[in-house]
Amino acid sequence: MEVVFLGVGLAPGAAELVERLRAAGHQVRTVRSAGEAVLARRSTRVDALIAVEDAAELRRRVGDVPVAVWLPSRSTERAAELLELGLDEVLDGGMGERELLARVAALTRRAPAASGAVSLGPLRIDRERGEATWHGRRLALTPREREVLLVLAEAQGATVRREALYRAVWGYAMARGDRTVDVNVKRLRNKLTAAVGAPLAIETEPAVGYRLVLAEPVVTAL
Amino acid sequence: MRLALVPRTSEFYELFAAAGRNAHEAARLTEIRFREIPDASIPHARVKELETEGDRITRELFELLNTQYVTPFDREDIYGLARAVDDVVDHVDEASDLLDLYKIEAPMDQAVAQCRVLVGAAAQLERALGSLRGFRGVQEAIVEIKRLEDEGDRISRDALASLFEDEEVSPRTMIRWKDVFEALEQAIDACETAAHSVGNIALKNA
Repeated sequence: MEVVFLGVGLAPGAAELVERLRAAGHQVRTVRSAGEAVLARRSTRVDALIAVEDAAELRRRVGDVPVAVWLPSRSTERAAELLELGLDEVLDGGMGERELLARVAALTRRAPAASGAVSLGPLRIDRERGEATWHGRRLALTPREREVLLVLAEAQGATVRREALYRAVWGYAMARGDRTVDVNVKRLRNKLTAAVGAPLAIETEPAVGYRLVLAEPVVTAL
Repeated sequence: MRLALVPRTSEFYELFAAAGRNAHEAARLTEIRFREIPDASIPHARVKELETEGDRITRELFELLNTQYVTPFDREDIYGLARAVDDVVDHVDEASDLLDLYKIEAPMDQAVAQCRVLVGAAAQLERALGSLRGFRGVQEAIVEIKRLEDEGDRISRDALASLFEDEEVSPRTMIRWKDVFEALEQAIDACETAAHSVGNIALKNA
């Protein structure tokens, strides 16, 4: 299972837990900030997140991926607080190895089913396979452009605000005045126009954001 | 070194006018770069060439100063002004270089606004440096540079504030743009310093 671990160097026992999880066959990726964890979740499949810090922020930002907290020593008060905050599991240094691994396994079972693909008409973006296709034909996009397309396609024709698009793809808040989203949408739009043409368009809602729309099929009366 | 007794004062005026044109052009190309990234039609090498040209003009001014017995203004004023104009181009070059060094991938509205102010100030500096013989229009140019510098200050403050409005802005974004905003502000400030030198010379000689 794919596990992301945030803040491994910040608490006693965390590094040992990472080693145990790896020995048990989990793929563990260590990150240093909530933003990095969000990015990891957007670019690859993540079955569970374990955090030493910023767990509540992660819970808020990673959608339906289960989040656990690591406490170096057992504290029933702290564990109750964290669970009440909405965290899915609390792991602590008082647990034996078998219990820890069983709890992480139970946590990963709560991860959403791995569909990972989004469609809009003949457009399909498959996060697991890392590709976007139009009528089954692969579109040559960079990973970043594919992520932008995925977020726009997920909205199913609704306008996605530039700030929301930035947060979803880059994993951070967009600084006011930053034109990163616009530059990437422009490049994506040019590539889509060249590869697909008129049937698929990224429309601009000035000062708000972008939406991905399919043109109505042209019906010719005979 | 022998001092020449036959005055070559017109060369001073020509070199200062060339330095002004050079600074204005460096600012103009840098503004294009900031507006067009990541597909800028102007590579940093073009700005660097102007920085090198600015150094050459400054060197020539110093050489002329060292060989001339008669100079149009006080020696230390000529020296100070030449250095001040050279500083403008150096700061412009630094800001332009940061775009590549920090691998900046998209424009930032506030930086583009700073660049517009910088180009305006550099245009006025060119006008002032081109008018040292007789000082016609120099005062107006200096007043306009001061006004632009005030506007630049406001934009710079707002630009810095924009990086700290949301605590979830990426640290990478903050580090990159804070340095760029500061480099552009220094370039605008350098225009004002140069304008101040021109103002002093005008006051003594007009």
